[in-house]
Amino acid sequence: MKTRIKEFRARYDLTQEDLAKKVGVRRETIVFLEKGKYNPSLRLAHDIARALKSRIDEIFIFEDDEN
Amino acid sequence: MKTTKTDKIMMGLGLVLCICAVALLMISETIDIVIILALFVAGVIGLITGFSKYLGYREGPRTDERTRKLSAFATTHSWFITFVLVNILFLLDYFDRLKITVSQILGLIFFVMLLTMVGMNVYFKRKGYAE
Repeated sequence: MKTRIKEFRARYDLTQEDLAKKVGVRRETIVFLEKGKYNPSLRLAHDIARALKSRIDEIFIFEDDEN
Repeated sequence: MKTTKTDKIMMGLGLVLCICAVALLMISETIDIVIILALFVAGVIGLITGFSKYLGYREGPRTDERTRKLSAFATTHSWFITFVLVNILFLLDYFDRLKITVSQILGLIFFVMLLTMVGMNVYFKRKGYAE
């Protein structure tokens, strides 16, 4: 899964720490999300999308070959 | 700095246990020293745990869904390793390959459980994710 969190963060001038505080997670979680190594729960994906003023499918991009 | 309610309870309990151990040591002459020592060690562990969390407090949550998932993975792996160990010990005993007392087995299982739990937690926390 790819994410556009970094791009959207830059758009709203948010640091990883700022976004982590907004959605109530640790900064490391944002790091792993940006690297695409951690798949968030639907709740967290929703919170991140809301914090970045966009939709879930704009932030998280699923590729067809993924299970 | 700020502590959570659990940390305060942990520190309070630790302090009470230490005081009880010292009081028992001073008052009683019949109670086994091992019991007093166990009480004291439990108290010190409580104090250290609570205080280390107090010192390590940072802004933001200590846990989130990722860290909880990692802990759950670590616990599952630890449980499985212990389960395999118990089976191996059973087979060794069944085929008379090992002479070991119940206390030694319990000690070994306790040690393996603790070690694998801590080890797996460290491994998954360093890795950062578990799928």
